[in-house]
Amino acid sequence: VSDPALQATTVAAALRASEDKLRLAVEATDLGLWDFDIPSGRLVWSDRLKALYGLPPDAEITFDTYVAGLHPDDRDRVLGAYRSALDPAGDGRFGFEHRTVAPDGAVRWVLAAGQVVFDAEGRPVRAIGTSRDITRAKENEEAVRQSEERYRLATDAFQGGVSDHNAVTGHVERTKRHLDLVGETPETLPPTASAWLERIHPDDVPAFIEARRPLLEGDADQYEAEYRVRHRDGRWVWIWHRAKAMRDERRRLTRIVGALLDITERKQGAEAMRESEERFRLATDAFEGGVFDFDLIAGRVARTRRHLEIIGERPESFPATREAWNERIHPDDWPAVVAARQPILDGLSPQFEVEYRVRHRDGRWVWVWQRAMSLRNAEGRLQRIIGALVDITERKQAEEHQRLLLDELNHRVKNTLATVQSIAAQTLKSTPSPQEFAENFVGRLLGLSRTHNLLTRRHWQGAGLEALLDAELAPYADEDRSRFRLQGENVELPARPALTLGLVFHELATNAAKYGAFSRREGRVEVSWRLDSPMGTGQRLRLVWTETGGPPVRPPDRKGFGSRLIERSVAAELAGVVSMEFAPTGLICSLELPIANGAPNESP
Amino acid sequence: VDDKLNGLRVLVVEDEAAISMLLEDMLIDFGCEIVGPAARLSTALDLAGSERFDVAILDVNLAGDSIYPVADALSQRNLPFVFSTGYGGAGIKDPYRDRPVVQKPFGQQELKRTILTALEAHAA
Repeated sequence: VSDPALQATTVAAALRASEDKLRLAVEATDLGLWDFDIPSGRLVWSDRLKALYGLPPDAEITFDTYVAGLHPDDRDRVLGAYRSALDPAGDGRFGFEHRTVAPDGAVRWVLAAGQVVFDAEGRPVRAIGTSRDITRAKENEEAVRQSEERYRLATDAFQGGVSDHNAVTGHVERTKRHLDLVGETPETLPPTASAWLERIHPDDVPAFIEARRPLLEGDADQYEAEYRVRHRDGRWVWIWHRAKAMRDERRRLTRIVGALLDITERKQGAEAMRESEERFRLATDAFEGGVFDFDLIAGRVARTRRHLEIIGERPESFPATREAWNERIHPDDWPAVVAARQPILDGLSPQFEVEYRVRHRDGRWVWVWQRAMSLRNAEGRLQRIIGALVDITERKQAEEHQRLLLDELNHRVKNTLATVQSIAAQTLKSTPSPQEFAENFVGRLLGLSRTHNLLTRRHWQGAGLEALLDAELAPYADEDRSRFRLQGENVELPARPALTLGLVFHELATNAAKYGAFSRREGRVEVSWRLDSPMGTGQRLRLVWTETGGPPVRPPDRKGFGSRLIERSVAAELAGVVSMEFAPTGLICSLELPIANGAPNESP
Repeated sequence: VDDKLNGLRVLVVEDEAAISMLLEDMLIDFGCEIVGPAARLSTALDLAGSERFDVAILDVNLAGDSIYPVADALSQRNLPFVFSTGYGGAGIKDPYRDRPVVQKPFGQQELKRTILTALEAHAA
C-alpha cells in the first residue's frame, strides 16, 4: 500500500466498517448513541436514539431538536447537569434519568450517560454518550411504589400491628401500631422473632408454637393464634395473631407477614362471662336447693338437676313445662301457690315466696320453699321468672315436732297446775291453821317437785322406784338414811305412775313424820317390793311399807287428803289394790299394781 | 249448793287422782252427785253406756287414750258433756270442736258456767 490517498480511503473504509460494527452492536444492546461535536455544533444520533425521542431514522438532529424532546419538567435539570459536565474542573462525566416527549406526545423514560472530551487547553470539544430506554423499569418502579403506598395505607388503616419477618435474615420489621400494642419502640424491642416469643405468656407459648409449626415446616401457609403478651407496663395484653407465609419458587420460606390485634377487651368480656357462668354453676351446685328459669316467651322451664332431685326426677325425663310441675303440687296448697304468684304475673310485685307440698316420685309429699323473681323487657312485658327452691321437709317436720313438744309441755304444765290447785284445795280443807296449811302445802309441793326432778333427769321417760322412794323419804328421816331401808329389785316406772306414786310416798312419809315411825328417833321405815308375773297377766308390783319403833297407831277418825289420795291413786288411777293395816307396831301399807311392761310412755 | 246444778248426777272421767278429787269436791259443793270417777277408758265407756247421769265431764287424754269413744257413746245417748283439757281448745277434734271446754287448771265458777253452757245447748 503505497498510494496515500488509496491508503487513506482504505483506512476510512475500514474505520467505517468498524464504526458500523460498533453501531450494530450498540443497536443490538438497545442503547441509543449520540456524538456531539461541540465546536461545530454537529450532533449525530443513532436510529435507536431517534426512536427514543419518537423521531424517524432520517430525522435531522440539532441541539434544539434534543432540547425540544426533553420533558418540560426534566428540561432544566438535564441541561443543568449537562452544563456542569462541561466544566473543565470536573471529570466531564454525566448521567441522569429523564423523560422524553415524542412529537405525538408519547413519554418515555431514558437513562442517559456520557462523557465530555476536552482538548489540551481544557476546552470541551466533544460529548459522546448513550441513552437507554428505562420506561418499563420506571413503570415497574412506580407500580412497586404504588403497591407500597397501598400497603402503608392498609397497615395504617388496620387497627392492629403488622410484622414482616424476613425468614432469610431473621429480621422482623414491626409497624408502630404493632409496637404500640405492647408499649414498645424499635429501641426497646429487638427486631427478632424470639424477642416477641419471650414476651408471650408462658401458659400460651406451647399453643402458639403448635399453631405456627405447620407454617414453618411447610405444611401450611398461614396460622392463627390467640395468646397473652406482656405489655411494657407489666400487664398482659390478649393478642389475636394471624400470619401468612411467602415462599420462593422452591417453596423455601422467605417472609412471614403477620397481622396482630389487641383483643384484651373481648377476652376479658368473655372471661368475665365464663367466670360469671362458672360462679353461677358452682353456686347452684353448692346450693342445696334447685334453681329454675321459666321462659314465658318460649313457654319452657329450665330446671337444675338438684331442682328435680327434690321430687326424685331427672332433667332428662321430666318435661320442661310449667304444667308438669304444677301437677305435682298438693291440691290443698294449690290455692296458696296461685295466690302467691298472681302479683308477679299481674306486674304488681317483682317477686314472690311460697311454701307448699309437691309429690315425690315415690308418692310421698315433700315440703318446698320457693322464691322467684320476674324479668321484664324494656316495655315492661314479663319475659322470665327465675327462682330457687329448697326442700324444707325436715324443717317442717322439726316444726311439727316442736309444736307437739310445746303442746306437750303446755299440757304438762297445765296438769301440774291443776294438781297443785287440787293439793292446795285439799290441804286447805284438812288443816285448821294457816301455819299448818303452809307447812303441809309446801311439803306436798316439794314432794311433787322431787318427782319432777327425777323425771327431768330422764327426759320424762320414767324414774326408778328406789330413787323415787329415797327422794320422798329422806327429807322426813332428817336425811338420816339409816332410818329407812329400801329393798327390792330395780323397777323402772313410767312417768305417769311415777308422779302418782311420788305423791303417795310423800303422803306416807309425812304421815310417818307426824304420827308414825319418823316421829320417834328410834322409829324405822322399811319398804320392800318385788315384781310378779302371774300367768296370763302383765307384771305386777307388790310393795309393802312397814313402820316400826313409832308410837302405837290407830285408824284416823276421818279420811284426810293423804289416805284419800292414796286410795284413789292406786285403786282408780293405777288400777291397783291398796290396804292399810294400823298394827300396834306401826302402819303397814301394802300396794299391788300393774306395771306396764315396756309400755309406751304415758303422758302425765 | 247451786240452784241450777243441785241434785244433778255428773259423770266424772279424769285419770289423775288429785284432779278428780278437786272436781269431785267442786261438784259436791254445787250439790251434785258424782258418778265415777272413771280413771280408765274401759271404766268410762262402761259408765257412759249404762249409768244414769245428767251431764259428763271428760278429760280429753285418759292415761294416753283418747276420750272420743266416750264422747261418741254420750252423743249416741244424747247426753250433754264438757271437755276438760290441758291442751287448749285447739286440741279438740271434729266433730266436737264446738263443745264446751274447761281449760286446766280451772276455777269453780268456770266449771259451773261451762256445765251450764252444755246443759243449755242441750236443752236448746
